[in-house]
Amino acid sequence: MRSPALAIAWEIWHRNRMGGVASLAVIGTAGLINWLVRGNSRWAGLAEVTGYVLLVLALFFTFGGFHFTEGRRKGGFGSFPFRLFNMPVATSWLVAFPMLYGSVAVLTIYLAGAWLIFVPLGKALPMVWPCLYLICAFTQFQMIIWSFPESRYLKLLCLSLAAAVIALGWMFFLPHIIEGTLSELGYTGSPALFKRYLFIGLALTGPAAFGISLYRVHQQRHGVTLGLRHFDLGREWISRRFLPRSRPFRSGTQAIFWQEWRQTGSILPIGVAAILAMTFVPTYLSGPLTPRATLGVLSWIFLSPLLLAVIIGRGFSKPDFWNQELNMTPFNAIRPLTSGQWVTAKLKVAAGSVLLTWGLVLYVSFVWTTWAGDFEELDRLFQQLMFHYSAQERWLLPVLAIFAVLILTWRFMVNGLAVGLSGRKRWYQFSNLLTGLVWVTLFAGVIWRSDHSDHNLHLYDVWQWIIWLPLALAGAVIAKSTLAAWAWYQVDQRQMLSRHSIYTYFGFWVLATGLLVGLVVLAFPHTVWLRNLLILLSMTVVPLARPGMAMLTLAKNRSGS
Amino acid sequence: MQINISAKEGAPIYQQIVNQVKYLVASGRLATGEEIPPIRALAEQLTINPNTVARAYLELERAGVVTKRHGAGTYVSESGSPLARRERVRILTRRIDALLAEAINMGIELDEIVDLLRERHAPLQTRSGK
Amino acid sequence: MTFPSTSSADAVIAVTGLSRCFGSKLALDEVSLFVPRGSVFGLVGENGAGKTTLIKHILGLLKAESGSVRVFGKNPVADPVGVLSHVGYLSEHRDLPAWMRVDQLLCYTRAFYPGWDPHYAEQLREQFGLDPAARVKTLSQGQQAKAGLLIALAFRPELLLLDEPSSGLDPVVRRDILEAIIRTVADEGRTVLFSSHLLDEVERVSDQLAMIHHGRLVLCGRLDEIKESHRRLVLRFDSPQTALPSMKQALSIRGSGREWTVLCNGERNALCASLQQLGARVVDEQIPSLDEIFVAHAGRKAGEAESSTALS
Repeated sequence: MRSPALAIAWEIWHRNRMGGVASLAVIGTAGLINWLVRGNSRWAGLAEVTGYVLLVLALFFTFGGFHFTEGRRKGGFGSFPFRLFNMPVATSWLVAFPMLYGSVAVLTIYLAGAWLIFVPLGKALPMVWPCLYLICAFTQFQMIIWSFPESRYLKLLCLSLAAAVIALGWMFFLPHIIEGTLSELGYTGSPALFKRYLFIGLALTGPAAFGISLYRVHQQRHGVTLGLRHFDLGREWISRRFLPRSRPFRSGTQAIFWQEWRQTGSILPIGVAAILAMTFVPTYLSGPLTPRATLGVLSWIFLSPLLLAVIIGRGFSKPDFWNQELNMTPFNAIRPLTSGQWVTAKLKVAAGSVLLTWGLVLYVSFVWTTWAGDFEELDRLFQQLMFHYSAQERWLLPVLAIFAVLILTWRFMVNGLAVGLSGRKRWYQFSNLLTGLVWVTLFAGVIWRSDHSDHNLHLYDVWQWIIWLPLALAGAVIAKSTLAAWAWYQVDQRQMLSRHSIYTYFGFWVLATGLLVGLVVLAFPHTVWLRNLLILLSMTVVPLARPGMAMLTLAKNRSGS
Repeated sequence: MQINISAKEGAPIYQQIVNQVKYLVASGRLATGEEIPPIRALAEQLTINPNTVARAYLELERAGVVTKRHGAGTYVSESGSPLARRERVRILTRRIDALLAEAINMGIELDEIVDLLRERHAPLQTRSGK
Repeated sequence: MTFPSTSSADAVIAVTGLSRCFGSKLALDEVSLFVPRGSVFGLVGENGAGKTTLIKHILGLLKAESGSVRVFGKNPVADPVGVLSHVGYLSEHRDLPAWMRVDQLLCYTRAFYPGWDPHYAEQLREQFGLDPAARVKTLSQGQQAKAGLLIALAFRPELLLLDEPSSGLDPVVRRDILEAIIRTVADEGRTVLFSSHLLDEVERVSDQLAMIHHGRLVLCGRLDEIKESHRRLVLRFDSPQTALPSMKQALSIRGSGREWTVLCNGERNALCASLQQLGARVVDEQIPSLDEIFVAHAGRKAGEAESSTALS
């Protein structure tokens, strides 16, 4: 059985050789730098955070590169590579080798990072549970991707849930957390014994994932479907009886809005609904929560659409969410519509998606809080925050805040359109990397800060950064306006969008930014410097140049350049 | 009107149509005064370009095999016209040439062929004579 | 070898000096052709010769690096709406959205074209036997091709572009597609451009032909003129020959011993003269089929093809 093993290994390595070498090189360089700065305490803190960020990014990349899938259509999101089913190799080996190699790759990256980056800094990362956790995470990830060849929504849902659990679950294994949780739950036994059982359970998830994958891949190999036949028949019957498309569309723009909505509009709401279900149902079943817990859960819930929008926005910015290729299919490209109209449809679908999501979140949170949560702490917090404001402001501020959050979510969804619609894969990957970097750094910073909360952040530490911030923001606003002016001028010259639509968008931008500025002004009437800073910030929030740029890049993409 | 054309043969398609229509008329399968299908219908039936059919019909009209009545379709012309008779003779001549070429190759003399012709003609004569 | 077709003023598609490189590969090399209004224009060539690239330029899916492309007198890249609202396209790779139902597909496509004829669409749908409630992913390849053809035809486009419409389809579907092409062109003033490997189809249906070989145009003009200009000559030598020298006018030379077959391209008399010098007698002379012409042109190496077009 040596040849298939080597063949699969070669294939996986060949696909990822650049990235693999790059990751190791980056880790090695970071390690070298850390070794050089190990004495300097000021830089050591920064180096530690950077180390975490790099390690997490390298792990993300490894997860993304070493999962072994292929789509049936070119670029489609895939399942187990079908072409291997014709090989004279038993299914168990076909399933085992990629899982093994992926786990080994992930472990290598972690150990390399732990040894090269953190040992020079004198910090010894734990070995046992992270390795077990990473193997568990990778095998579960691989299993989910392989197990749903038919239904891409189901696959996406499970993947998102798994990703959320994996991204946050590791925190449970930090030493003091385990003890803390156990004591809170009233567990009287020995923590060490519990830990041992936990680790054994974690180790067993690997083989369990292997078993389930083997079962599902075996079914795929021999053409056995998931057995949702009745569900499919029911769905078909419903769609035949109740949804015949008899009303014609008023115009081409309405038709592409419908197409885009059917393909991508429900992804954000479904993802958020899943998170809501995953959070609210257990907490509802476990009984009324303490006020602090209520607050915690609600803040997590209100944060999740934003985080999800960042991730989904990356996929949304492609011409087709469900396809990894970045070119427009001829079916779409030959419609007699301008690129401006395509981008407008995308923007509108994103807006609809965001409205639906937040409507869902607000409604469900309200219902849940009345049933299972505790209004007390919320009310107290609200009174505390609103103490300084007048009666009208107490109504206005929450409304404006909701609006600001809507705008922010929408921005995250459509942020990447100019790059994704351009059709250039390298730009797209680079932009993903950049976004990933920013958010992981933020996350790492927050964790590090909460870890080192005793380390008081004196104002003079960050003064030098704060001085530059207004200037940087002002520069950003000027750059944004210039780029926007140029881009929209081009759009107008090439008649990609009617003057009326362009002015409507400008009007929308002015209104949205005005409301954000209004929020800032109302919220911070006294701290002038903070207010001005936030005003400048809010002028950079609403996308102005990006939609125009997206239209231009899409036009280039359509004509194959 | 049943016509088969083949693109693989060297002869141009319009020529094949012309030849076949002439043959049909000469052999009596297309009666005098019978209407032949309009250009578009024949083009759809044979899945060929209507222009090709149009060219064939033009050729047939020039040869006097069919006549076009304004707005009322195309009809087979009178068989008594000298052109039709000439056409029939021409078709037969071609067949005779092929027959003679084969006979020479096989080494069969002309007298034998003539005897063979008389022999084969007799039963047909009695049958058509009824 | 170019036979001057109608003037460019009457042309629905006017391609002038178009060249295109993909990396180091030259996909199109100074291609110029004019597609007259109301004609059926057949585009033939080997796989990878550049047919799809040319069609994509016409649709504005590729921007002309050098040279120009004009459709209805407009640039398809600069004015996509003006050009594409009168163009129906069937691509080689069926890329209909898999989740749409047939009735949704019709409704969707209808929104873009004001000239959509619902009765004609319904008639075609029945004729093609497509169930309106069936999802595209459950349709067979032939049915998907028919669905794609249906939405390309239903708004009676002035220009119908088909890229390998018969590829991978059974004869029944192929016949349906050919019938649809015939019906389109039978309506006055509508033009069809299609690329195909199936030369007998091209021969039946086109009246203009263009052949692309290694990105260059080797034949272009009316189909009957092209066929008339080629001859298949059967030669008889007095003594057996081992090999014949390559002659400029001879596209392909095959045979052995005393009998040889030569496919001649144009200059028949000059070729006969040089053959007589070699001591050959022309025994038989026929018009070759398009298949033979295609294979003869495609079989030539790029260098030979250049020198032959330089002479003609």
